[in-house]
Amino acid sequence: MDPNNVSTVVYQINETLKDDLKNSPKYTVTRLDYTEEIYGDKKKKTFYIDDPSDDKDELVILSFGKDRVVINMAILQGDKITISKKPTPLKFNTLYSDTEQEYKEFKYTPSFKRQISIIDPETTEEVKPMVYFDEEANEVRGKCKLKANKPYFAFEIKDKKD
Amino acid sequence: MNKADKKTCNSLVFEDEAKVVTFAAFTTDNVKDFPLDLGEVGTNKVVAPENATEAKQLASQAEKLKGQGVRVKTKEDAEKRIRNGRNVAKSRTAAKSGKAKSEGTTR
Repeated sequence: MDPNNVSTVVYQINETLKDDLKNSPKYTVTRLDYTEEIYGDKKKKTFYIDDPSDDKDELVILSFGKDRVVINMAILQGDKITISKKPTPLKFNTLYSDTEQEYKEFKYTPSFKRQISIIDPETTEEVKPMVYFDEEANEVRGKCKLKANKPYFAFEIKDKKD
Repeated sequence: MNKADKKTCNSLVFEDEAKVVTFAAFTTDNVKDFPLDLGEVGTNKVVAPENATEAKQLASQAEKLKGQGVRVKTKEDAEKRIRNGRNVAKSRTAAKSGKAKSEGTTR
């Protein structure tokens, strides 16, 4: 149940098959679809896993508030969900700007061994990078759009050894 | 700059002690290329369906890109996965190829 001004999103963690590990991250995430019902000023969200595993599915739960995000983890086993009792809040540093900022594009060289998800905390939408082939550089480049003077949240699932 | 606030970089360890979720909040000041402070931003989602031009471009460069260590999934890869009995990939590929077929027919 999301209180007013809070929006929760959930990601399922997928482990990459051994055959595909050479050029892929060990773990990737899939954002879960949801439906919501409104009860007064609260929203009840129901999240759906398309392809639940026989054993267990690990989830990352992100609750975005006005100036912070709360990060939590959960394990889904059949119909039972176990949620960590130790969520971690993370506060955003906000830079005040009284003028509406335009999106600016930045370019980078992507690493296909890492999947870093960037989320706009205001909308909770992901900032989707676009990958393209740069003829001049003769390599794959990435580009995505960010607004200036604005906080963003980024996360990645990594092997603990890394 | 696109700086991640190093003080707020953090991580949570999963129950299996094998993986961690690392996260950071960052605030853009003046957006510039190469947000190196955040690390190399990467994705294994090659291109969204709406970016069909880029998808075709990448597919045409598949061999060259594979040589550079980039993972590019082509129709041949999908068919190979089906032959290896990957049911999930098979159903997804079947759905896509069915769609492509119907699009082709309408044209």
